[in-house]
Formats: sequence, C-alpha cells, structure tokens
Amino acid sequence: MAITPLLTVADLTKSFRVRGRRLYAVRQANLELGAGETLGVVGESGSGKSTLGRCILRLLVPDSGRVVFDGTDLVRLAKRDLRIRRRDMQMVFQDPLSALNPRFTVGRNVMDPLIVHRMGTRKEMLARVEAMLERVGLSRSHAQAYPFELSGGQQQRVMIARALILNPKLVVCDEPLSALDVSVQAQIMTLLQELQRDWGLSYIFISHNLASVGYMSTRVAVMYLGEMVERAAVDDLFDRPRHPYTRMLLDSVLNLPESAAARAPLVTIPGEVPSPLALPSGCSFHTRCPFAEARCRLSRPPLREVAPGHWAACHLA
Amino acid sequence: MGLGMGLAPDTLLDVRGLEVVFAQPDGPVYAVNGASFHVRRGEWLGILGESGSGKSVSLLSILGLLGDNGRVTAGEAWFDGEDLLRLPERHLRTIRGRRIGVVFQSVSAGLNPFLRVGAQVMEPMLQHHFCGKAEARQRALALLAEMGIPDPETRFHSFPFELSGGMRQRVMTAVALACDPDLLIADEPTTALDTTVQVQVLRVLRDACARRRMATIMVTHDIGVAANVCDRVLVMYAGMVMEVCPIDEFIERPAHPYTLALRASHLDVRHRRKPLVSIPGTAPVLREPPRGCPFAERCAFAADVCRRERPPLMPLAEPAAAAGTGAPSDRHWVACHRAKEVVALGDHAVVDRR
Amino acid sequence: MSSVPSLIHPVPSLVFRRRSAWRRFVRSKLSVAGLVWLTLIAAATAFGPWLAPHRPTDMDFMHANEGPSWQFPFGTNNLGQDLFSMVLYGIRYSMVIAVVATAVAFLVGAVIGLAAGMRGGWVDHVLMRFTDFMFAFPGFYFAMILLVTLGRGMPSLILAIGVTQWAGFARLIRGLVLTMRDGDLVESGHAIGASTWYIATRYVFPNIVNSIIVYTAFTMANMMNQEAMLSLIGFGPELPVVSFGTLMAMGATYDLGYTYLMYIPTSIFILTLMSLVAVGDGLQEMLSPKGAVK
Repeated sequence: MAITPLLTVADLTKSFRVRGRRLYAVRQANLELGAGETLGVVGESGSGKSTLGRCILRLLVPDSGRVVFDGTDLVRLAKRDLRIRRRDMQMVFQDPLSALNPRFTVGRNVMDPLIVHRMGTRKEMLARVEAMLERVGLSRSHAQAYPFELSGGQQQRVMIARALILNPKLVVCDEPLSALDVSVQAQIMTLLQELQRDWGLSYIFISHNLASVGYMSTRVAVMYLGEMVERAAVDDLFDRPRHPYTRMLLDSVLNLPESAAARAPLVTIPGEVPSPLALPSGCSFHTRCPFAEARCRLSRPPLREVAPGHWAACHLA
Repeated sequence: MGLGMGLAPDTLLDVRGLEVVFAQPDGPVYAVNGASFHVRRGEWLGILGESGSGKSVSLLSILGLLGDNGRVTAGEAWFDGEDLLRLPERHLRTIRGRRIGVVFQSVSAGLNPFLRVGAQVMEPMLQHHFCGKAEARQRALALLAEMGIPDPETRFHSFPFELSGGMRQRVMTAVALACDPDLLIADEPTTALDTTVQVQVLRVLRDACARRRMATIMVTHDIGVAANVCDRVLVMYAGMVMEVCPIDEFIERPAHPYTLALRASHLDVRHRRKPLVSIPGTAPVLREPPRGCPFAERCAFAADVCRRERPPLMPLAEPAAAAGTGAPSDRHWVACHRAKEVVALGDHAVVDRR
Repeated sequence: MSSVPSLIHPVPSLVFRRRSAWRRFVRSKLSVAGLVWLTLIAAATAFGPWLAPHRPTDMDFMHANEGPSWQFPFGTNNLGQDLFSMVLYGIRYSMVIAVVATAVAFLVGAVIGLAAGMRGGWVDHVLMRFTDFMFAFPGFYFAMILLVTLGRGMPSLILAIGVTQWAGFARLIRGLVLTMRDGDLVESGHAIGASTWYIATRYVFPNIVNSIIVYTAFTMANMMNQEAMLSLIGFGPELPVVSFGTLMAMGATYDLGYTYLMYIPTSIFILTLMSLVAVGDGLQEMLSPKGAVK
C-alpha cells in the first residue's frame, strides 16, 4: 500500500428518495486505493456497488463523506474544477452500446474527451485516436464504424479506448464484462491488465462475478445492502473469508469440478436480500446469517481490523 | 451424422439433422447446421454455447417459436412418436405448455405484468383442460410452495412486479410445470440472477425434475452451471454439435478443442493464478453453410483437413483402462478430426499449444 | 498477478461503406415524389399571387362554369372565377396556417415538455396532468368554440388549431428527454468532463431530433386536415379569402356536372398530406445512423 494513496473514501453515504422514503444505497463506506492497484468491489444486485462507483467519480453527489482523489476532495470541488479533474478519472460502463453516442462514429466517440478538454489540433487528436484504437486491439479503420456495427467485445474495446484516451490515473470499471460472452470476457480482462501494467493505472473493478473480481483485483471489498462488510487483500478474502456473507457468496459460485464426484451440492443459505427500504436492525445480514446471535439483531457491527489488513463487519469474525 | 446413436426405449425427444436459416436483409444466416441430439425421460441435458451458437434457436424451432424470418430447412424432431417439425400449429399448441414446459431467461417474456401470480400458474391448466378450477388453484398453491416461494397464499395474489427477480423466475418455473409436462425446456433460466439466488433456483429446479422423472433441456452459456447440474452436456458452436457426452466424461475427459477453450477461459475462484487463455477472434456469423469445421479459424489444432471437411459427430473410443468395463462405447460423441490427440492432452492442450 | 501473452491477432483493416444522407433519402421513391410535390406547394405558397393568371375574386361571367382550358387551367365556377388562381391562393392561406400553427404548437410543447422532463418532481406532475387533459380534450370542438368566441380569420384559426396540438409535442419531448436524462449516455458525457451544454447539444439533442422532425411532419398534415375540416363546416375564412377547406366546400355545393371543382382542390390537398407523411418517413430513414450502413 502506498504511503499516500491515490484515492481515499471516508464515511461515504448516499441515499435516494423513493416514494417519499429514504433508500440508503451506500452507508459509511471507507476505502483506499494505491497507484497501480485494483480494488475489486463485489456484491449482489442492490448492494450499492455501482452507486459507490458513481459517487467516487462524483457522477452522483454523496450525502456525506469525503472522496479524496490525488489530494483534492471531489465532494467539495466546484463544478468547473471538477470537469477539469475528470481528465484523471474515467469510467468504463457495463453496456457500451448505451454509453457510446450512437450518432457519432467510433472515432468521434473516442476523440470526444480530447475535444472536450481541447487537447491539440484535429490532426493530433486523430493520430492519438488511431493509436489508441490499435492499442485496444481494433484497427484504425474501425474509426469510421458506428458503435452498433461492432460486436459486443469490440464495443467494450471502444469504451475502454474512450476512457483511456486522456491518460487517466483512475478508471472505475462498472461490470465491464457482464454483457459479454465468456471467451470475450477473457479477452477484455487480459486487455485491461495489459493496459494497467503498461500505464500504471488504478482500477476500481465493480462486479457481481466473484471469479472475475478474484482474477483482476489486488484487494477486494464485499458489499451487502449498502454496507462494506469485508475488505482485504484478494488472497486473504478468497481463501480466508471472515464474514459469513463472503463465505456464503464464495460457496455459491459454481466452479468447474475436478471430478464428477466433486460436483457442487447446490446448497446455499436460503432467503434473499431484504428491501433496502426496510433495513434489518443491527447487522443487516442477521436475517440470513446461520450464526446470528442476539447481539447481531441489536447492534450493528463496525468494520474492524480482524487481522492485519483484513477488515470485517461481524461480531463473530 | 450421429444418427447411429442407439435409441434407448425411454428416449423422449430425438432431434435429427436440424437446420435453421434466418432471412436477414443482407442475406441468409445459417444458424443451425445439422444438429442432432436426444434426451431421455428423467434426464437433464445441458446445451452449452456462446451467443450465436444456435443453442436457443434449436429449441425455439422445435417449439415452433421461431420468428417470421426463421425457417427450418431440414431435420426431424421426434417427440413421443410425433415429428414436432411437421405438426400443424394448432396441434403443436396442445403440446406446448401441456407436455413441454418452457422457462425463458427474461422473465418479462414469460410473465404477464397485469395478471396476478396465481392466475398465471393456473392458466395453462385451465387452457389445456388439465383439471378443474378448484383443483388448479390447489395445484398452483402447491407448485408455488414446491418452488420455494415463502407464504404462497399471499404470493398467489401478488403481481409480478411485486416480486424479486429470483421469485419471478420461480413463478415462471411453476407456470412451466403446471400441467406436469414430460419435458422442460429452460433457456438460460438463472443467467439474470445473483449467484446465491442462482444456486437456490437451480436446486429447486433439479429437485422438481427428479421428483417428476421429467426430462429437462437447459440452455446455458455458463460452463460452471452446466458442469454442476446436468447429466449430459452438449457443446454447440456455429449451429453444430461439437461434443456431447455424459457429465463425468465432460468433466474428466473433454475431447473437443472448443470445449477445452471454454474451460480455459472459465475463471475459477479457487485457482485465481491459473493463466487465463482467451480464444482469439469471435464466433462467426455464417453467411453460407460451413464447409470445413467452423471452429477451425480459432482453433490451435486446426490442420488442412479441418478447413476442408466438416468433421462428423463420431463416437470417441473409451480410454484403454476402461475398455474392459463393458461401458457402452457410444457415450461420448465428438465432431473433431483431431479428437484423439486433443483428448490425450486434455486441459494442457490449450495452454501448451500457445 | 499472472499476465497472459495477448493472443489477439493483428486486426485486419476493414472498410465501412457509407451512404450519404441524400442517397439514404433518395432510396425511397415515395419520399422523393413527396419532396417534389412539397417543393411545388412551397413555390405556390411563396409565389402564388404572382403565378396566378387572374385574381381569385375577379368574376368573368362570359366564362362562367367552363371546363379546363388554356385560359382557365382548372376551369371556372358559376361566377366565372378562375379555379386555378383560387387554388394558388388557397394553398398559400392553408400552408401559412399549417406552418405557423405547427410552429406555435412546437414552441409551446417544447417549452412545457422540456421543463417537465428536465425539472421532474412536482413541476413535471402539474405540467403533465395539464398536458394529459389537453391531449384528451376534444380539440376539434374546442377549436370551434374558440372561433365562435374570437371571430373568424387567420389569427384565430391558427390559435384554434395550434392550441389543441401542442400537447402531443409536450408529451413526446418530455418522454424523449426523460429517457435520455437518467441514461448511460448523459452520464457518459459527464464522465469525460463535458459541460451540460455540450451534452445537451451533442448527446441529447441529436438523439431526439429525429423523432421530433418526423412528428412535426405528421402534425403539420394533421393541422392542414383540421383547418380544412373547420373551413368545410363553415368556420373557415370569409370570402374573398379562400383556403383549401372553403374550396372543397365550394366544390361540394355545385351541380354534379362540375365535380372537377371539388375533385381538383381535394386531390391537391390529399397529395399534399400524403407527401408530408412520405417526406417524414424519408427523413426518419435519412437521420438514422443505421440507414447509413451499406
């Protein structure tokens, strides 16, 4: 971990108004991200992982908390300064077809960040775009195509080219693989890793898929109902999970068995995620937790360091 | 082509030489190119493939649910003595929903947003005159309970939008099972669900099928799902059957380079340092029927013969050690000119060849 | 972290062939025919008084009730008035009403639709309840009442037609803005640091303008129809001013022997409506990037 991290998120909370009620999407999230690191954020739908990603980039304004990126608190930054700051932090969206401008060619979509930030002449910009397209595994002739003419994997490459054309320091990848076929997912992950290695990028890799998070990340945070329930280095978290929810998530992954006798028993803890509009008292996981005790219903366990660098929000961890 | 597969007496559905072509504005697309497969009573067959492999199209064409621009150009689909591909729509309708239940990936395609859950589960029973209204109600409640829906009496009166994705998928399964079908066709039934809910739904499905001795064909793109729940797995690519074998063979003795490539690109939470091998290129959209092997251009094993001749689906020889066990020799079928070399190398094949 | 040699082969150079916008429009023969016809109509609107061989009010009893001839291309009526000249003036009157009323309806609708869509909340709620009310309102009777109250003439006719048509624009534009506002595309624009103005003009507007233009063509056809119907039942302009509706009404009252008095203006009117629709379709084809792909 770097001494001064690139990104520090402290006590970040974000709520929405839903039919007159408050929905807490993220509650008091804390994290740090060093240069060149990848923090995986994993959780089921409704866990608040995408909201957290958007708050970090201030595409959503948090209710409270701090997002200190490279020395500045983005939450308090004026709109004008924020727009300039965006050069250093970009986003890769889940569905490239909806996040790329259908009226623009691929080339214009990738060039757009350069245009917005007035980076050089048209000719210089075009050269950068063509180099970038080739870097992400497309050809310069793809610049003339419209996004819908490309395959899903190619569209995601365009999305990545657009996010990286400004040489950002931080890229938030929000479920960048979930719209893709398995073999294409592998291609995109390989590409993201190469780019990170070559340019020293920092990623926040948001996914519901534990396997891809495990592959991409150096550290992992697990979210449940808007709370960060566990956070640790990837091997600590996957091999020695301390929170019952993390354990349950890992157990529910269907791996390729080593032999026919070793197939998954298809056993998982019953029940579903409760509505975020009616949060359980105490530990929000106690309604599904097989180890829940009386105190779990009464008091909310704080995220505490249960082993060096390993944080878990569980009374029993 | 694979027609020699010994037909066991309990074969429920037998598809032979299926070909489907889609008419697109810029010319025909060959979606299914001579696919043959069968499923037995009580058996769970998984069809594994990526998007565009023809896995869903094969099943939709059997059900007579292809869109206007899709056409079956060849093949037979024998279901309990009748060729589904030659039945009039009127007759097919008495089979669909009655003897063959269908579960779709997208719940919005399968459930009516304006009808209460209970009414939707009862509907196929009433429509097919399966039973009277009072009995249908009882059965619907029992089905909802069997599907693991808590408090079915209350949920009976809910609308689909009031339920979570997992609950809706359970309701849709209850609808599919309403008339006690002989065959259940499930198209990516758990793809849109979270991992924990996916396991719950698969468990409920598997138990329900076992209880009824019902045959199930499940389409999936997830090798983990296929390997953990199916009895037999069929791998499809470019509308052709690449490999079909029982689950133990699928897990322990994969014989097609494409199957190996799928395994290699599958990430494992336990082996996170496993080198990730991506298959170069993308799956083809066939503008003409494939001449050679459609996987040849992405295949590390491809030889000249692969580009020239379409490999037939052939039985794979049993391993030497098992030769004396009396196991049937036609358990494992594979369409690859170089299957013998591939099966000998196993998972090393993909990595070593790079 | 294990990293894997990239197995991506060099990507072949591809050619994406394009059709120009004009070629896309021209692809539909019907749209071209519509455009040709509308050009003629536009010329008649602009230069009608100079093109007309006679003044429409001039009576020539020597040539009353005559069929088409070189002197009177569309023939004359029982007062010896030249139908060709009357049609030219009628086109001018009806087109001006349709264009101005459409513009009024668009402006009102755009302001209300944008405000409702962008602001949301109670503003949206109030504006849209009002819009829905207007949308469901029997507009034709409302127009009649307005004309009776305000008196006949062009301004009240424009108001009467336009005031009932803005609701469609408002609903359309609000819906389009809403689908864009919380969508990935706008967020993607913010993410690269674009200004709100940049996003509105480069991301939102180009993606909704297509639907608006097409809807405008259809609305204009609808406006002309309303004007004609109102004139037909006697709420149109008073003679000597003529519109399509009054011409058709005039033709309908004549003896059966002179049916061309009705058929000619009616045919021109119907052709104009059909052309508007055809051009609307052609624009849709032209403006969609999907149409640009060969």
